[in-house]
Amino acid sequence: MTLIPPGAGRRRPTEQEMIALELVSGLLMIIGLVAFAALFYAIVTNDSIQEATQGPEIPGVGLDVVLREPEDEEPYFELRPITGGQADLTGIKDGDRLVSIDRVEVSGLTLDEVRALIREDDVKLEDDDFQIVFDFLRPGTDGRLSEAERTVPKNVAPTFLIAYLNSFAFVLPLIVISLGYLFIRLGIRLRRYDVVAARWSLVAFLWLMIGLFVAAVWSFWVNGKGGIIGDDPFDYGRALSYSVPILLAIIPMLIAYRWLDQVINEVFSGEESLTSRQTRFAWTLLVPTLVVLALVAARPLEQTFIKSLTDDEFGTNRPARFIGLDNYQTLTSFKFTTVPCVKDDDGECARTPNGSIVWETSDVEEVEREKLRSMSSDERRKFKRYDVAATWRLMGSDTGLRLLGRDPTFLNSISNTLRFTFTSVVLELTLGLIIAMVVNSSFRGRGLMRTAMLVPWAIPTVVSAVLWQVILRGDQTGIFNKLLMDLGLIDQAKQWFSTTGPWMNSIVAVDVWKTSPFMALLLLAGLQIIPADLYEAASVDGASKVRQFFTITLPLLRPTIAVALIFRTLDALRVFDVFQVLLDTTRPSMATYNYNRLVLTRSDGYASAVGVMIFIFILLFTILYVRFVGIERE
Amino acid sequence: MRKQALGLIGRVFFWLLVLAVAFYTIAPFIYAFSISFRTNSQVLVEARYLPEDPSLINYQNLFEDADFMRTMFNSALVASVTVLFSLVVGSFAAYALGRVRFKGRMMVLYTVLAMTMFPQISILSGLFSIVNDLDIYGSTVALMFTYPIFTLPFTVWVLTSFFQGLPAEIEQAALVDGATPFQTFWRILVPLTAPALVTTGLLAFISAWNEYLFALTFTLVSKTSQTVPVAIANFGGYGFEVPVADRAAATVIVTVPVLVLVLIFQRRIIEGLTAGAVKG
Repeated sequence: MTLIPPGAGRRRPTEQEMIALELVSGLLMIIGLVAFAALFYAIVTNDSIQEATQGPEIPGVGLDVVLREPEDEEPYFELRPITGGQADLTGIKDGDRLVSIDRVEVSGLTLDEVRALIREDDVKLEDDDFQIVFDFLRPGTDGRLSEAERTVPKNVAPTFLIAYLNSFAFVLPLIVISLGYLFIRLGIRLRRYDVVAARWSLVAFLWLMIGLFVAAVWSFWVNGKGGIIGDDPFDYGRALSYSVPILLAIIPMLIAYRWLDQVINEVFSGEESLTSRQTRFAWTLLVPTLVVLALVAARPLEQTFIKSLTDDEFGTNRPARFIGLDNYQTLTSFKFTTVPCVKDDDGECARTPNGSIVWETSDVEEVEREKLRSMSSDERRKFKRYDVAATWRLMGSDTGLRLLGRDPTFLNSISNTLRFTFTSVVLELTLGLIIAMVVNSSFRGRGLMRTAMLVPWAIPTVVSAVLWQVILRGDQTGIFNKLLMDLGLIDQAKQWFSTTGPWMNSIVAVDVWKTSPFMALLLLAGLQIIPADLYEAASVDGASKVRQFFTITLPLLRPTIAVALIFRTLDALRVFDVFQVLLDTTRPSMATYNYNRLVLTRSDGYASAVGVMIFIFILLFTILYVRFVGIERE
Repeated sequence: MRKQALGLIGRVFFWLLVLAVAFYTIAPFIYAFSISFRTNSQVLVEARYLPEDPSLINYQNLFEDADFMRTMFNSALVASVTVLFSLVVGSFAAYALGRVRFKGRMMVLYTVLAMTMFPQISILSGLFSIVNDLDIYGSTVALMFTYPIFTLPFTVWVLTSFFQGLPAEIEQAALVDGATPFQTFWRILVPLTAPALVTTGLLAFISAWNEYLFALTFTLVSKTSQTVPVAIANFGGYGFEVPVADRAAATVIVTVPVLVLVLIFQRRIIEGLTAGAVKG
């Protein structure tokens, strides 16, 4: 207690206050240290990191085999699953009699040979075969044997790097470390009776208490709810046992906060500039937003980037492996080649019944097939050959330009998305401009008209897609077909969404209907800024309405149009709902393709790479727009 | 004489245009309204502009369907919680960004703007594993947790421009009267921006109410926590036929509350949307 505050404090602190200050600054430093310790503890006790460093608890399939040689029977191999191991979990029971492993009959083999087949020891990350099929006979209660088969995945530990990156990565540890460091520094500065440090400490305590309170409520709910979705009764005991300790941790902080708040203007000294005061205030207010964005945006984005470099899959035991840029290579590899068409008897290009041209197989495909033939079955499973994405006829000639890719569906999704984006944005801009100019002119019922304009915007996108599915039904029962037929525009019902029909136009039409109002709204705001006297002056000079539109409206609307174009283009590039509802999975947009890979085939790593590709596309478009359309902000 | 005729033609043309626009924007919804009064088999047999013998059976079915009512409740709950949270947290940030000059202000502002341009789909898989880790997969809490990704940046951005529009004397007067910055914010500026808060909240509510991708991904496994858009898109119907009429009725039920809100706040919505998008 020999520390004496330097400089002229407002007043000399009493002995008691000096002890209190030591306690408060100690508390700050302890919080900082606890943050470090908690991070370290979390890393060390993390399940997958422990598996990575110490190996899984029960490695491989978790199965022992013994040879039984009863006197009155043929000798057989008996299976002995280890409790809690994969074999046990898949339903292999003690006493099951082994028949074959991965379709290899075991009769006549020695025990060592059988054990070698299970290959407990050579389960490595490089091994692509992560499961073993066991055929066995199960003795029933009446002594009869029934055949059964189980596919058992092997338990394999992830590498340390993958385990760490999956659970922690960079964002969260960095936040924890920098916060811990700041707390310790704050504690040290506080002992010098520095008023700025004291004020920052108040802020720190305040948000820490709020954060802990939120954490307490959260853990109360998560630990109390029964089952995954809460179908079991709520467990109050468990909920309380997790949340009460967190609430208790708030108490010392509350005391420290109250004390600091009381004495801050009496004991602490030093000046704080207005700028620094404002900065502190601003950051105080920004804390919750930044925390939320770090948690729900930065962290997942980081996860997506990391996962896109792995071959992670949901629902398998196989741990993810780093495969570098393989996913991206598969996604982006493409080749162009020319192919002749198949000639019919007249020497013309043959056509299928629905009118599309039949093409020969190209050299590239031949080469790929040849490669495939020369491969072993293991290699074949991993090999992704170049396949046809699309073929275009070259200007009336008999040859076509063919696009091939390792992942043709993705290439198609890019082309679908780009075509969709271009046509829908152009149409929306035109239509939006017309609507905006209509509701900008004054006429009776304009208010009603503006409300009517907002109807498509107010309907959920997916619901509007479902609605249009009904309107555009491909037979007599579709109201749009009926309308066109009643008007005499078509003779028979059209299939609007079939693969051979005008599906892209239909999709665009649905999206244009849904989003033109939004475009109109944005443009309306721009129109309202244009001063009316400009038009008056032009009228006096005898300029026609059309001329006024091109010399006044369009140039003055240019910045608004630029912003509206950006908003809509970026939105159209990530189109999901309409494609998801109206089309099957063979005609995806980039976003639905991402979704399909993630949810249907569960290839998490690959889907993440698709997500990153979409992100890159959007980034490119943004840069292009900002450079060429030339919008400037502030 | 010729000029008058031209003017008349112009007026007729203009009104035709108005009618065309009106028809284009509301006809599909009117049609949904029309088929919602027919039975499913009627709709699947013949297309009609008006129902042959209108009945309320579809609506009755929906209101008696506990699952559907539950999804309505889920949607309302998720959207309300998300919006309340975004408004409170977002108005803090917006005040800091709109009224206080400090180092790093532009950086934060652009980070928030970048979030609005963000493709939600590209963080879906990352978000998926976080939701899994937090043990909230399949619950409505997963949606409340993830929706701020799009509602929060939007709220911050729009409210910032509202705060910027207020005269600077307000805080000075308050400071002279001895109010702390927080009191100034809470007692003076927030009430002043109440209309803006209502508008922003409404827009955020609509975008949360309409959200589909996250709802589909995170509640696919548990019917009890699905929201209305997911329920309508995945309607099982009664029997084997496509439940067209039920879907139409559901569409009407989902859209009418939003439309009523739009009718009441039409002017405010237009102001809010344009403030968020253009002035920024």
